[in-house]
Amino acid sequence: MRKELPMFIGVLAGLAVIFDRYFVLGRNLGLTATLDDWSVVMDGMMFAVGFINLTRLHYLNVKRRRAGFIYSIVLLVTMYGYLALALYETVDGPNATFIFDNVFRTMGSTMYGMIAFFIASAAYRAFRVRTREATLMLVAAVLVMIGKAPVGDALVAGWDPLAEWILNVINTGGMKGILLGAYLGAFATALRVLLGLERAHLGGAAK
Amino acid sequence: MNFWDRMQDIDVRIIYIVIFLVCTIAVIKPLGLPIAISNTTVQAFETMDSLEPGDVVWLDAAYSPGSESELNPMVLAVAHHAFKKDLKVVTFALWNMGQKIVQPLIEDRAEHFGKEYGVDWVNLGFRPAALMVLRAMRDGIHDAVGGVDDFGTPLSELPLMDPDNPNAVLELNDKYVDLIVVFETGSPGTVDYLTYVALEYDIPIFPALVQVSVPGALAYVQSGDYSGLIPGLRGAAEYQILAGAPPTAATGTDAQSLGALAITAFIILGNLGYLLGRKNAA
Amino acid sequence: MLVSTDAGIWIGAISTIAIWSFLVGDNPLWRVAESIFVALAAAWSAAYMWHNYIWPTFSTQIAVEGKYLLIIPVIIGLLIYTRYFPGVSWLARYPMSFWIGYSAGYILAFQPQPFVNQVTSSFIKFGGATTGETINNILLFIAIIGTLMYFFFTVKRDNPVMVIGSTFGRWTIMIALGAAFGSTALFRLSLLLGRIQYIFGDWLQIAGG
Repeated sequence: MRKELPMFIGVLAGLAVIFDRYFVLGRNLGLTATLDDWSVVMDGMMFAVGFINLTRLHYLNVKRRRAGFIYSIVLLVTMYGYLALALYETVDGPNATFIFDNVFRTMGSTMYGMIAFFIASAAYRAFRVRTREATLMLVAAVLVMIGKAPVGDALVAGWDPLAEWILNVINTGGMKGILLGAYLGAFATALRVLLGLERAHLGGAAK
Repeated sequence: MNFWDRMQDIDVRIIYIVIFLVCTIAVIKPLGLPIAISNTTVQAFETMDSLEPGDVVWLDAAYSPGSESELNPMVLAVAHHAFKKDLKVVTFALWNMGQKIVQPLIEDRAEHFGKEYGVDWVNLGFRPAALMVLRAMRDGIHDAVGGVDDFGTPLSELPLMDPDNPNAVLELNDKYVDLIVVFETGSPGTVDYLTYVALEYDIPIFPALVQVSVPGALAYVQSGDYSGLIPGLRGAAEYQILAGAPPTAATGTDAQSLGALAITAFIILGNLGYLLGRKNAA
Repeated sequence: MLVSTDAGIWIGAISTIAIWSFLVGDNPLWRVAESIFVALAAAWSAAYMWHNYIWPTFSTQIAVEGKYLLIIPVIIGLLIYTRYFPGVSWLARYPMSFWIGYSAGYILAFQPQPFVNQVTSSFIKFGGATTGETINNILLFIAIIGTLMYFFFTVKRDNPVMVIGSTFGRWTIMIALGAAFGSTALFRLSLLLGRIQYIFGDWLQIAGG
């Protein structure tokens, strides 16, 4: 029953939503409204999972003196130090906000932006006109990249409308096909969960 | 290694330096390239422009600090347009730092137009299980967000959300909200608003998207589900022009142009080395 | 050139350069910056949740407003932490299973509508106001059908219709992927520009910022 009962609860919750959506009686019972409020509280209670996972991992690194354990010490000291500060003065407090704005936000933006370098080097190394399909992909990439930046029209009049055409006609056609497949895949997976065929989240193999 | 092989094997650090230099040059000395306005941006602009003073626009900050460079100019432009038209603005965040990022941006435009927090705009902040909260807000915002805004102020003390005010925004549906705009990096985002709110209540919706999400989102523009779209940094520059907002995005598009040219040049170089090297070997 | 005297901007600039140092290669400055970034993300989220949600749930909703039934989801939510104790880790299945079943229900309840919109909008009227529009409508329809045909892996490709259709679909997908790459490159460039504007505008005050 250790797997069957949780699965049964999950299936009931899913069926409650479907019943609420498609039947007037379901809507009148207001099951989904209650379950929505409960799921918000449940999700809130899980707030420390990531925090605990990081603590366990890096504590073990330090305890066993694994390679790079110094950085684990830096992480743990920073994490608990900032947590103490933010709990004391809230995340809107002057010092917590200072650190968030000037350290975290700048680092986050920088990490995301650094990928521009990797994209350039990856495109240089990997984009080769080896096959017809690879050539199509390369040409489309260049046309859209230059066309959607203002320089496209400045270089060759009509480059922007060409890029627009690629995006609005060919790309949209391809993306709609992929989107339809994605929706059908989501429905199939959801149905498998509600029929009890999908058990990976319970620690079992799918049937 | 012959010349053609060397052309295919340039040290990546040289590529990094070139990309950095071309972008820096354009930032220090902007080119002033003209920006043509795309149809999707015009459609988005006209959707908001068709609203009447007093109508409510729901903004969602579904992004993290990593995407600020592209989305912050859009927030400025849309907030500028909204306050210029005397619309009421309610902000929520599907991502857990979005509300902190947009607060000073919307505040800046609100002050510019003399708008008051609590009367003309409210920041509801972020809540755990944001998608569940989104669904719960359809039937009542007060209970769904725990009765307070992002700063812990009871909603009953904010005229825009006070149940005793006949013009208050009490639910996320067509009775109270006239337009939804989502500033989005990924999921959860506009598709969730579309699925659970916009289609359900027939509320116009458009996303202000990072460029990477634009190809996928165009399918929803084609189907008519989205009433336009603001595409990336260039879209931000376009919307700033249309709305008359401060042009903070234009410099970026110039540097983006040069960066794109540099990447293209390297791709061509690599392929020249490949093709001519192959021909030579044959 | 007047360098900024704002301590926050100096710290931001140093943080930016520390992250960028990874481009030269893995180094201690990058590792320290990476550790600090991960630590701040976890700590900020936990503190925000505690102050803005967890504490108000107990102190206001349960204690003051008397919503005692909320204790049930509190207990179910707390069961997730049993995963750290091998003897009782099976209890963590309850909140996980609830979440997955609940989400599955929402998918089947709400996502058919946008799906049907995508299907109906795929049946495009070919005739447009101009010849160009008509050609575009036909191409769009063929692109959609071709892409779907490409993904029919269980149908034999031994007839000309399937071969031509799936080939055209493959080309469409390659063009779409190329457009996606081009868009991704522009996106990442704009994020990089934000940092360059910060360094040269806000910190070194060379650019307009």
